[in-house]
Amino acid sequence: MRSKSNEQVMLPEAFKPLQPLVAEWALPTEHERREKRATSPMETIQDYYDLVGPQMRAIAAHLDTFAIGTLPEPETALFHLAQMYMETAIAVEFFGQPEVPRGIARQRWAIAHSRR
Amino acid sequence: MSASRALDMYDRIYTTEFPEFGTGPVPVESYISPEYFALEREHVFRKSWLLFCHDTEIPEPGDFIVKDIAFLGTSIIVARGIDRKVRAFHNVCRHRGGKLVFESGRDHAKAFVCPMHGWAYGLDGALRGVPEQDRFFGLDKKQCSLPAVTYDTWNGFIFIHAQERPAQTLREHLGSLADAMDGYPFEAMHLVAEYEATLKANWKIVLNIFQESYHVAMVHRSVVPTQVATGPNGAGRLVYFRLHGKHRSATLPRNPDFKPSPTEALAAEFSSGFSKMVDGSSPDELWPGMNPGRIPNFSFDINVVFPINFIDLAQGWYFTYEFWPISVSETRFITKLYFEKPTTWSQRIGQEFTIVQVRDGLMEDLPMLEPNQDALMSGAIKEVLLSDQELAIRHHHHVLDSTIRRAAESGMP
Repeated sequence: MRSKSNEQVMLPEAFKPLQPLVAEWALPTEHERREKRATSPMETIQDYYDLVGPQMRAIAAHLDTFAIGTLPEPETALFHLAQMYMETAIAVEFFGQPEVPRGIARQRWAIAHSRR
Repeated sequence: MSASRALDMYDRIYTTEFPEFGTGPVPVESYISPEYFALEREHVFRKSWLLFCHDTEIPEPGDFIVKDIAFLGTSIIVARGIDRKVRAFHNVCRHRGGKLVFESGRDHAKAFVCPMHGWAYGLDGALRGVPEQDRFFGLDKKQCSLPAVTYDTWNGFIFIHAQERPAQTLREHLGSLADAMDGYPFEAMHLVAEYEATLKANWKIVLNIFQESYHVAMVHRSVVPTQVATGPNGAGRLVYFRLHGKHRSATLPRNPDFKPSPTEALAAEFSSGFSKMVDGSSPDELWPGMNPGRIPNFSFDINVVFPINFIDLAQGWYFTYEFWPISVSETRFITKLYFEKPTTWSQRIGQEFTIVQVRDGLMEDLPMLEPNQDALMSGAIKEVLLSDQELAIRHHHHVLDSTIRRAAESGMP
């Protein structure tokens, strides 16, 4: 659950280019991230992938300076952006479309444990 | 591994090593007959150990899990008490049978309070408080603990049993499968994802697709296009089938020529996971409890715990399946994914790709199942044909049929 609106969370300076993504894409639950991918046009998913992909190692390196546990809000947003990247990556590299080709309707495949 | 040994491994025929199973077709009756389902319920589900959860999912006193068990017609609570002991109860108030906890799933509480009249129970199931207690006649609170459910544990896995006195302990039931899997560091892992679907298909129709890899080439063309059914083992065959009494195991090889996608490679840089190459032949690298064939191109082991569970093991992660029968043609399927606890955030991020890939991969399997059930129920075909690679299915039927036949012959209730 977000403690305040994502619009107000400022990413660390090094990740300024990703700031426009935070409000819409730094989603804290798997359910929200899966929905976002499923309901976005493929071009939008591709744009996200193209923007965040090259930053992934830098994001991981920055987050690695923090101990595993609770992160400050800017780093939490970065972590959620990294999680969202993984959702877009499978769509771009494997599906060529937002949802699993020939897959079951996602509403039938319930995410029962989403707190990560 | 030499090229010739590799070919031998993929070409080995297993079914004929077990002449008692035969090689013939199997009748469709057990997938579609309500009478057969009733026999399964009485002689298999009600007399077997059934996986409920892993104790790492309820680590703190007050943590509990509630699950409806359709074929038993009951809801079960498994809770960790103040004394840190785990207990299992029916989710039923001793007063007039009210449901104690309405929402299924994982939660945390200091006590269980019935929403109908406020009867309060401790986490140990003991009745602690009764509003208007003096208006009852000879009420002895000590006799009114929550009705206990039989449970047992192995390596932290909590299994429940419908009988008060099961014929075998859990360890006896697992037998040599437990020997094979012992040593895998379950306690160092934690739950990262859980998914469920209710499908209008017999529990064995759902279960069967996961105990063969014959379907991978067709079904997983999008999510797993080249990691399994490509290269020297082009059909994606399972190897090293092992029978463990009622249970069974097999090893899924990885395509040795697999080239990971950019993000598969990135994830493998960060952490263990589905796309991370592991040298399965190296005793220093490979975790215990899996890959008994020591194949170098190891992906994961399938371990079917009869009757309704899988505990599939990989390097750094594992996943379980629960196939809860609701009726002959309906099943609740639950998947849980566990990972080694990350020590860095990059590890945590790398694990995320496996989670998404497993979740989405299963979305490819599930649409196959209801049309399959419909077709069998139509009566269009009377039997199914099983290849050598579908030995696990053949074994499952054999164990079910012989269990039910033995119960019927001995006149057991």
